Amino acid sequence: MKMKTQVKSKLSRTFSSNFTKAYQKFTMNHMKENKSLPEAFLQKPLSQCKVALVSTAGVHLKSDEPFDVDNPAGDPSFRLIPNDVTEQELTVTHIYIDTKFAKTDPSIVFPLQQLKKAAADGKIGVASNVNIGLNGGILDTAIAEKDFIPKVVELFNNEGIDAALLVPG
Amino acid sequence: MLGLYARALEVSHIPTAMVTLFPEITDKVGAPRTLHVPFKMGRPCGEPFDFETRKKVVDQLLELLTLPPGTRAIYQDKS
Repeated sequence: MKMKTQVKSKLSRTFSSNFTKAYQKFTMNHMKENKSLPEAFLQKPLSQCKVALVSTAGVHLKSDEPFDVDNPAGDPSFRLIPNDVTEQELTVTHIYIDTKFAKTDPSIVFPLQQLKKAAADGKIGVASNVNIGLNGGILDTAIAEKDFIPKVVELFNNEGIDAALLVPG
Repeated sequence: MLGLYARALEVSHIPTAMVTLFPEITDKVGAPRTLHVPFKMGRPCGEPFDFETRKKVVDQLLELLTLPPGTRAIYQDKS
């Protein structure tokens, strides 16, 4: 991470944790409003569903390339996370949240072990073997909407994923 | 951006349940089902090693999947 990015990260985190209302307003102002809601329903009992996790906390495998946090526009790409990964194999790359907590316990941003436990307990059918790590904090979402979101949707459809749990950073 | 993923998945008939720290933001983007949690940025499923809370968050998200789109749930600290 470049020195400039480290300074930006520190300033941003200081701002968002001390002036949370102002941070919310800043984010709100950079977002377009969607008045209608798309509506999907479970097609089978939850106990038979394949459920995937999607996180924007910058979660990825240590063996994968980290998100490019030096790019001022953000990194809209995604990382795949299989369901047999151990917590020790995961890390977090993000400049707008304090990642020290998630690095000690990735389940605070990516509760994969708890999802697998829900499968073992019979609450869901199975935890998906395709889960998605993203790097949030992207204000201009055009590239994500054009390229990466459709790719993830296609991937989920091909994998037969029935439902998704989404966790922010 | 996460809300946009939620919407795109729902358009593709995959229901979603999303944790939110800032309901005003996720309402504006139109995330279909949200669970408002009282935690801090960077710790959306609670504090490190607080696995009891983690389980409650996941269980409440799973329950939210069974409720209609437009449901705005609030995290309940009950077991």
